[in-house]
Amino acid sequence: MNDLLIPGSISSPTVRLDASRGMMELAGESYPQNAFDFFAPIIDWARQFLRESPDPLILSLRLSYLNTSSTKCLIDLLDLLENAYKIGRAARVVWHCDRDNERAREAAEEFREDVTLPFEIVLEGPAQ
Amino acid sequence: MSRRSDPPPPDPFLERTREVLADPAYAGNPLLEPYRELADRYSHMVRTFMKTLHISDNYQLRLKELNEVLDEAMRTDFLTGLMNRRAFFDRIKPELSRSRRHKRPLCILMGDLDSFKAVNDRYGHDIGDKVLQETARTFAAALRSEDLKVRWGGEEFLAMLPETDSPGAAAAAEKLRSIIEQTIFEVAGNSIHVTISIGLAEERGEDPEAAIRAADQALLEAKRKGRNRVVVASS
Repeated sequence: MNDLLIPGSISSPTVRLDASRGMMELAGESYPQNAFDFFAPIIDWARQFLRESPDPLILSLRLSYLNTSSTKCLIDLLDLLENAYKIGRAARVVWHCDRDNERAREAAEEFREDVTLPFEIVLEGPAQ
Repeated sequence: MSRRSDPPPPDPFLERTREVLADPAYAGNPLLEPYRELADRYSHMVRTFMKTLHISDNYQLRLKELNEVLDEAMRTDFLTGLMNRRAFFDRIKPELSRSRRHKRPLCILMGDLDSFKAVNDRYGHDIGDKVLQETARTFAAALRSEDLKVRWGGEEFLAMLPETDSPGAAAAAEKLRSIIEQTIFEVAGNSIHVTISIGLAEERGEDPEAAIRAADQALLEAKRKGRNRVVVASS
C-alpha cells in the first residue's frame, strides 16, 4: 500500500500517511476551499489501511485551527478509527496542542468526548 | 474542563419510529431492518451535526478572542502603553461632537521632550526607550483619567483635555512640565534628567487637525523661546 504526502498550504495542513509505520500525521491549519474533497483521500487511505494491514494505526494531529467542514471530516475519520477499535483493531489518537492555547485543548477534548479508543492530548510549548 | 456538547434536540418522529421498531410484534421482521439501519444512521448524523456545531462554535470564539487582542494591540503604543494615533483619531470625533453639542471647551496639549536625541546618543536607545516609558507614566499620572493620552511620535506626546479651557489646560500643562523638570529618572544605574516643552491650543469648532496644528505651532514657539516651557496658542 502506498504512502501519501500532501504538502501543507496556508489553508490546509501537511498530511503524511506512512503505511510502513501505520502513522497518519496532519499538521497545520485546516480551512481548505472544499474540506470534503481535501479529506476524501485521507479517509480512503485509512479505510484501505484498516482493510489491508493488520498493524496498529496511529493518528497524530497537530491542528491549531479547523473550519466547520474540516471539523465534520475529522469526526468522520475518528468514527472510522473508533469502529475499527471496537472490533478489536489497535488504533489510537495523539493530539498535540499548544500549552497556552486553552481553546485548542478544549476542542481536542470535545473530539475525544464520544470515542472510546485511546486518545492522548499532549500539551507542547514552554511550561508556565 | 470543557462544556460537553449539547444533546440533540428531542425528535418525536424518531422516538415514535424507535417505539415501533422495538415492538415485540415486529421483532425479527426483516422488512424493518432498513428502517432500523436508517434510524441508527439518522441518530448518528444528528449527533455528529451537534458535535460539529459545538466544536466549530468554540473555534469561532477563539478567533473572536484573538480579534479582540489584535484590536487592542492595534490601538496601543507598544513601547509606552499609551493610545496610539489611530486610537486617538477614532476617539476624537465623538469627543469633539460632544463638546460642541454642550458648548464646552476642549484643549489639545502637545508635549515634546527637550534635546532627547542627546539622551539616546549618550545612553543608547534601550535606555532612551526606558526614559520614554517613564515619561509616559509621568504624563499619564499627571493628567486626569478622562483626558486622552497619546504617544504621538518619537518623544512627542499629545493629550486631549475635555471640559477644559485654555487657562485650565495651561495650569495642567505647567504642572506636567514642572513634575518632569523635578523628576530624576533612575534607569540602569543612570540618573537621567529631562525637560519637556508644551504647546496648547483650544479647539474652536474647526476640524481637529486645526487644533492639533495650532498646538504644534505653540510647541515650536516654546522650543524657540528656549525649551522647558508652556506656550498657549493665541486664539
